[in-house]
Order: sequence, then structure tokens, then C-alpha cells
Amino acid sequence: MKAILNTRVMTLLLCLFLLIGLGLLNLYSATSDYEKGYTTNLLFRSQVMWHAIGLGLAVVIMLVNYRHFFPLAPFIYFACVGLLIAVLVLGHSVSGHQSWIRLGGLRIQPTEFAKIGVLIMLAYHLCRQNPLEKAGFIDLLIPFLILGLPSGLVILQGDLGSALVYIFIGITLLLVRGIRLRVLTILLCGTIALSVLAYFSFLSPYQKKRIQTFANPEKDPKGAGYHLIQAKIAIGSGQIIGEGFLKGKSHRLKFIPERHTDFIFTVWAEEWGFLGSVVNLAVYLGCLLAILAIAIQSTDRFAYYLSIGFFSLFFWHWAINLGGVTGIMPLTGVPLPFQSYGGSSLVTSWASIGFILSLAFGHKKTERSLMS
Amino acid sequence: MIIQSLEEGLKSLKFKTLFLIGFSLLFFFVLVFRLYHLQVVQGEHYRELAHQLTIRKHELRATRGLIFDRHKKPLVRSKNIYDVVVIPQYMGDIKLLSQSLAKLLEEKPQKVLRQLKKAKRKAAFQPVTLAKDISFKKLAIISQNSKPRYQITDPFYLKGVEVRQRIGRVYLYPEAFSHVLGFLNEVDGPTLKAFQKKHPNRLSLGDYKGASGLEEIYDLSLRGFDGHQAQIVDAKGYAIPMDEELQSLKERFFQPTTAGQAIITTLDFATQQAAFLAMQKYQGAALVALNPQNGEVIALVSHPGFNPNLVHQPGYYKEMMANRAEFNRALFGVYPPGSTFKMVTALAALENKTINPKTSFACRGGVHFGRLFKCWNRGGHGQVNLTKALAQSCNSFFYQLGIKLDIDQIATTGEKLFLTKKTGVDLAGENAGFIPTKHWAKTSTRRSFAWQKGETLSVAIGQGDVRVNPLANAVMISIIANGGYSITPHLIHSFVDTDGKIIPQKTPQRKKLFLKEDILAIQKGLVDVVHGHGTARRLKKSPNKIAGKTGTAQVIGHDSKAKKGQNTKPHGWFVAYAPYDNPQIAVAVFVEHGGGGSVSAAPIAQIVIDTYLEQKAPKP
Repeated sequence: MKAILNTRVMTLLLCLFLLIGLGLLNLYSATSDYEKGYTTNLLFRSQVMWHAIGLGLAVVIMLVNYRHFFPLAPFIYFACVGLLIAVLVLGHSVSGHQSWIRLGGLRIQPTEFAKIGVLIMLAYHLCRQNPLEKAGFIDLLIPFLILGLPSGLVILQGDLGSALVYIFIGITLLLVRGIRLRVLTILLCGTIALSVLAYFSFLSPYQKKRIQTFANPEKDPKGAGYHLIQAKIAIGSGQIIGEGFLKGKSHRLKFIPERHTDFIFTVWAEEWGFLGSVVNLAVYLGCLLAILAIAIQSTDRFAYYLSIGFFSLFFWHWAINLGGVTGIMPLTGVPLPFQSYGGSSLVTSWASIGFILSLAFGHKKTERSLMS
Repeated sequence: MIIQSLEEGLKSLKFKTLFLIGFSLLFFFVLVFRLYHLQVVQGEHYRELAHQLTIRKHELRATRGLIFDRHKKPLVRSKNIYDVVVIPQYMGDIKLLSQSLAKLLEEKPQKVLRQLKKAKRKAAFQPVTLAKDISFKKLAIISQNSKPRYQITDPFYLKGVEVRQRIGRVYLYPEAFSHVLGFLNEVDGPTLKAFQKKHPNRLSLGDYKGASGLEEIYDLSLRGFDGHQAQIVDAKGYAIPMDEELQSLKERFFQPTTAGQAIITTLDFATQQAAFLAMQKYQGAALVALNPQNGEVIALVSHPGFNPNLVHQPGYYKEMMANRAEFNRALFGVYPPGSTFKMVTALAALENKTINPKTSFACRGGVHFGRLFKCWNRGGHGQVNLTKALAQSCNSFFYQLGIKLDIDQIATTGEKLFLTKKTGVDLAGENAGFIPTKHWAKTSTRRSFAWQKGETLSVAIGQGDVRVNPLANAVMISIIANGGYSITPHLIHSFVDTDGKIIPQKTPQRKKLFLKEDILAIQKGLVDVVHGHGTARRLKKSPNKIAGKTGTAQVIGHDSKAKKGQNTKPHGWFVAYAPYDNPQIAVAVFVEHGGGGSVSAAPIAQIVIDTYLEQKAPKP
């Protein structure tokens, strides 16, 4: 047991429970209906329920040796792709995104689960490539297909933020795997040229507006820039020590849209100020570094790729969400793990933690038979 | 495909973890720096913005100051006015509402529906005015039918409809005081913009502002300071209930109103009213009465007047504009002065030592200068000195002065008497009169020839191109009456603060303009106008010792013909002061097409002087 609960795992769990604690505290404030008092709080209770389900799932995954997932990777991946197609066919849309399907009484978002499927598949494929050679164009072909298929399906749903997460996870893994410098340079230049071309020819006016809004939100305060301005006002008005728990005006008076989901951090920043925000960031950073510490202990490439994959899953959600609400990156709606309201996101995050713990516990055992 | 061992190349892979650690730390610090900028550096700014978003100001209107006459008799009064407003967030079925409101307000249902639809697009808590100044009958119906819950049997559906009270102005003596007090108008966009630039936060859209008269000039003092109340609203503009903390926020943004200052004017109610009544039989007239010693305006009347209480009714406003009733003849009008101008010619001659008080000329019914310049008395006045010339208004005497004087000398004296410059009265839109000069003759585009000496003779008796404003003529006669001192006409005696403190206004400094003996010589003639064998001897019957000068201004020149339909009856003038041994009131009366000054203007002047002095030299 001593070997299992090493310092890295302990650090991860400590930071994780701190994060969950402040996340729930904040969600309680964000979902309180000011006009009706603080009693009816369906969303909060539902979030607690999802935490319980997620925790259970994490424990189950943790107890399975990660090596069992190696041969299952393609099946998991195609199951996820199948779900994404199902969403397009059967799904129904919420606030412009057609990314939900009904399962009994629950609404689930396969986009979230598919993130895990994509990263397992990619890790699986990279393990099959020659580790002693850096990747050339041909080596990149299949990874691009693995990424491109779900990303395309998610973009068709209208969820640009999630597609971005897929692509960033993929890029992170490919960079870690190593790409030839010449190939990398050509790809980079090609991407830049393509984006410029896309901006002027392919992008819809709505998408262009999003980009322009990011550059200058004050230009259209009631329209497209509304979200960002309100987010900045809420964060800024927290000042150093914050307005206090349950006292944030911007969210209480409903100025912040999506305050319990994508903009949950603005509620925290307004009520707890700069000091509270730094604590929030530090706790999350602690989780990220603990995952990397676990990654370093990997005894095989699959374990390493997997842990880096889960690291980038958490990192990019964090970066895209916070970069967006603080105005240093364009706004794309992605949830903040363990803080935003949402069952699918929460269960996915918990499952990821389960995988990471399984990796941490599985390092010592070398049951190669499972993988070859 | 050869599958490589899973342990192979692991070391070089793990090395890259360092980059990921570095990248995570870098992003962490970027975020911390960004939050420091938003929350610490710009935090104050954003908190202020947050307040602006959540706190909507609800304006509180200050009460406008009252206006009194010199005996503190109120000339205006405040009245409760009731407007019908609708609060968008509470109106339910707007179709039903529009039908009820249309029936109540006697409007077309479509029009009301359009108003309600427009209201719906505005901030939900902000009341939208549907009808202004409704009658008591409608007020009663609306208050009776405003119920918290609508039932199908109720005659009117009035959800969200409220009656808002505001304080309006009532002018107690509408016609007589219309021009001098002025009226209020709802401010328009450009005026508002210009005003706010000069006086920020003193006026907002939908406010009423003084549009003419004293209401305009003293608008800032009268209007006071509006306050505001905070209302806390959410993103959709809905007002929300308060808790303790929001209550304190609300209190912090509360600004009480400060009522406007009241004004005690120098006007004398009885005199003004008497003057206005005396003018009624003429088509148009103007009168200005001043205290010749200090420039206080005792009365300032322009006939026809209008009713400022009705100007907001479109029909009345049209009728008023058609009558030119809004035109303040006493302030804006300039007219040929007739013989009242002879004083100016005489004073110019005395000042320039062209004549002395004893100089005399013979009048044989006219003077030959190129052509015959006729005296009104064809038989001639015989030997005439200055006193007799003024008393009998002998043209020949002044033609002689015209021959001897330069036109520019007359113009200079006229300017000293404020006839060609603004008197500086505290009313807007004053027009200065005009006396021709050689320079003007040379440069004017309206004439093609240089100044002719013969024209000076016409000007000398107040005909030709001379134009005088009634207020300026009152200042002129005041200067004669007070022994040659300049005065500035003014209407304000004092301001009264909300706490009852009276703040008196300083009387402007007077300056000596003319020599005592020159003025005395003129005064002697003016006394004889009434008390000698003069043109206004009928005023001798007044109990007060009046001195003055009549004027009859020809409407058409001696060599031009009247146009068809033109009223050729001359304008009547009378300028006077009383009592002549201790002048307390100076008057200029102008009667449009009233005929001779002695029959039209002089009796009005007598009524005004008698009314005023009867009150035993009233002091404010």
C-alpha cells in the first residue's frame, strides 16, 4: 500500500480534492437563485450526484490494469466515433450546439467521452511507430486521420471549442513523439498560410465576428462582445480580496451568461478576488504537475503517451477556458474540469483521473503479454 | 510492420516532460499576470463599470423656483401634473392593454399598440410616457381601475399602467406677463447637447427648459439640481428585491434634489397689468417702464400677448405664431422714433456746442435746403428756442440743427444714449436700433450713393433711416430724467434660496455721460411739453408732474407711395418721466399704427405713471 500511495499520487489526490471542494463551493454560489433565496438548488445537487457517479467510475478504472486497454483502443475509438455520428443523426441542440443525445432521462454529451477515446487511440498508434526515428509525413498520416475524423464530426455539431481540444491534445502527443524539423517547419508554414486563406475565403461572417470580437470586444458591447466584456468586468471587480462568498454582483444579477458552465471562473474571481484566483490556479497547476510526475515514472511508451494525453486533456481545457474568459485567447466554449457544471464533462474528468491512477499503480507490474 | 519494444526510446521521450512542465508553469504565470492586470491594476475601473451596469439611475426632478413681482406677489404657481406611464416589465397582454388605454385616452388602438410595442423593446423597468397632463376625470378612472389582479368583468385592463406626478408651471397672469416671464419648452436634441457641454448634469432628455423671457435667462437658478435614486437591476433590466447589502449600495447612489431658487423681480404687477389693459384697443404696442435712477424694470409689456399655459397645445401655438404674438415688440422691435428723436439731435447740438440753451431760430413753416423741409405747423412757430422747439415739436428748429450738425455727431450721441447698442438687459434677444453714419452710407449694399446732407435734416426730426427699440428709448429717457447718468435695465431684485435666505442682486454702477446744464436744458423743454403750451398738454390733468416727449413716426417717406393694403397710419410714441422734480419712473410707449403720439401713446404713459406713483413710491 505504501508503494501505491506514493507522494505523487498523494499530491494529485490532495490537489484534486481541494479543486473539487472549491469547485463545489463556487458552483453553489453560481447556481443560487438570488430572487428565490438560496434554497432551491437543483443544479448543485445534480452536480454532487455526478461527482458520486464519476468517483465510482474512476475507482473501477483505477482497479483495471491500463495494459488491458491497449488492444481495446481501436474499439473504444470507433465506439466514440459511432456515438458522435449518432449525435448528428439523433441529437438535439442546446444553445446552438447539436451535441446532446438523450439516454433515458439523461442528456449526455458524447463529445466529452470521445476525448478519452481519441487520446487512447492516438497513444495506441504512436506505440506502433518506430520510436527511434522522428516522424515524417507518412508517419503523420494516420494520426491526422485519427484526429481528423472526430474533429470533423464535432465541428459539424457546431462545437468549435471541443474540436480545438482534440486537435491540441493530438499536437501535444505528436510533438512529444517527435517530428522531423523540416516536416514541422513545412506544416507550420502551411497552417499559417491556410488560416489566412481560410479567414478571407471560407469562414462564415459569424466566425469572423468571433475573431474580431476577441480583438476588440468593446466595439460591440451588446452583441458579440457581450460575453467577454461581462466576464472581464466580473473578474476585474473582484479586485484583490473579492466581493465575498455569495456576494458577487455580476453573476447574482445574471449579467454573466453561462455563469455555471463555461464562465464559472468569473464567479470565483469576482467573489474571491485576485488572491483566491491565484489559489485556484495553483491548485489546478498542482494537479497538472502531479500528472506529469506520474508520467515520468512510466515503464513503457503506452503508459507515457497515455499520461501525457490525459495531462494535455486537463491542460488544454484549463488553458482554453481561462485564456478565453480572461481575454488572452478567443472565446470558445469549453468547460473548466471539476469546476463547470455538467455531468458529461465531470464523468469524463473523473474517468481520466481513474486512468491516471491506474497508470500510477500499474508502473511496477510488467505484464508484457497483454500488449504483444 | 515490426512492432518495437514498448520500453525502447522511453528515456528520450521522458526528457520531453521537462518542456511540458515549463509550458504549464509559463501558462500559469501568464494567467496570474493577466489576472493581476484585470483585478489589481484595473480592478477599480471594472468595479465601477459593474456598478454602472447593475445600478440604474432613476431621476428625481427638482421643483422649479417661483417668480414674484417687487411686492412679492407670485406671478407663477406650481401645479401637479399627471402623466400616464407604462412599465414594460409589468404589462401583460399588450393587445388587451392597448384597447383599454385607447378607450381611456381617446386615441386610436393601433397607435397605442405601436407605443406599447416600442416600450417593450426598452429597459423593462423604465417607465414610458403614454399621455401627458391628463384630465382629472381620466386620472380618476385610471386610479379606480388599477387593481393588482385583473378579472374578466373589469371594464379596463391596466396592468403595468401607472400615473406619475410631476410639478408643472402655471402662469397666473398669462397675457400681460407672457413676454417678460416667457415659457417652458421640452428641450430638443441640439439644445440639450449644447447645454450639457456647458453645464453637465443639469438637464436631461424630456426635461423642460426656459424658452424665452426670464424663464430662459435665469433657467439655471430656477431649475435647481435634479437628484437621482438608484435602482438595482439585473441583465434583463428587471428591478430586483433588495437585501441589506444592496440597500447600502442603493443609499450610496442616492442624491436628493435641491429646489430651484425663487426670483423676486423688479416688476410691478399693478403697473404691468394697467399698461397691458390700456393697450388693448390697438393692434400692437410696446411699453417699457424703468426706475430712471437705478435701471429697475417696472413694467415691460408687448401687445398682443399670449397664454404660456397653452403653448403646448399645437392648435394654440399655430394661432399664436400666425398673430406674431410671440414677438416681443419691446425687446426685439425696432421702429422709426419720430419726434422722440429730437432730444437726441438737441443733445448732440448742445454737446458739440453747436447751440447753447438760448439759441433761437425763426420758423416760417419750413426750411429750404435743396427742397422744402416742412414743419408740421404750416403757419410757422415764429421765433423758437430749444425749450419751445421741444415743447411744440417744431421741425424747423431741428432742421436748422441738422444743417449745422454732422450726421456722425448725431450718431455718436445716439450711441451714448444706448440707441444703437444693446442696453444689457437680462433678457435674451435684445435688438439694437440704428442711426445712419457716413461710413454706413458709403459701405452699405442697400444704397448706391454717399450720404446726402439733406438726409441729416430728416434724421434730425427722427425720420429717414433711424430705427429705435422701445426698451432703448426707455433707457434714453431715463438718462435724460436722471441728469445724464448711464443705467443698465434689469429685472432681478433678488434670489430667494430654498431656506428662505434672500440674496440681493447688486445694482450696476452708473456712469456720468452728459453735462448737467445740457440735460437741464432738455428737461426744461420736456416739462413744457406737458405743462407749457406743448404737444401733450392733455396730461396736465394727471396728479403727477409728468415731463415727456411725443413722437409720430411716418410709416412711409415723403417721396414714396404706400403699397396696396399697407397701413399708412403713423406709429405713435411717447417717452416720459415723473415726477419731473424727482423722477421715479421713466416710460417709453410705442403704439403700432396708433396715429399721433399725443393721442395714442401719451394716455397709456399717463395710466402707467399714475398707477405706479399711486402706490406711494413702492420699493421692493
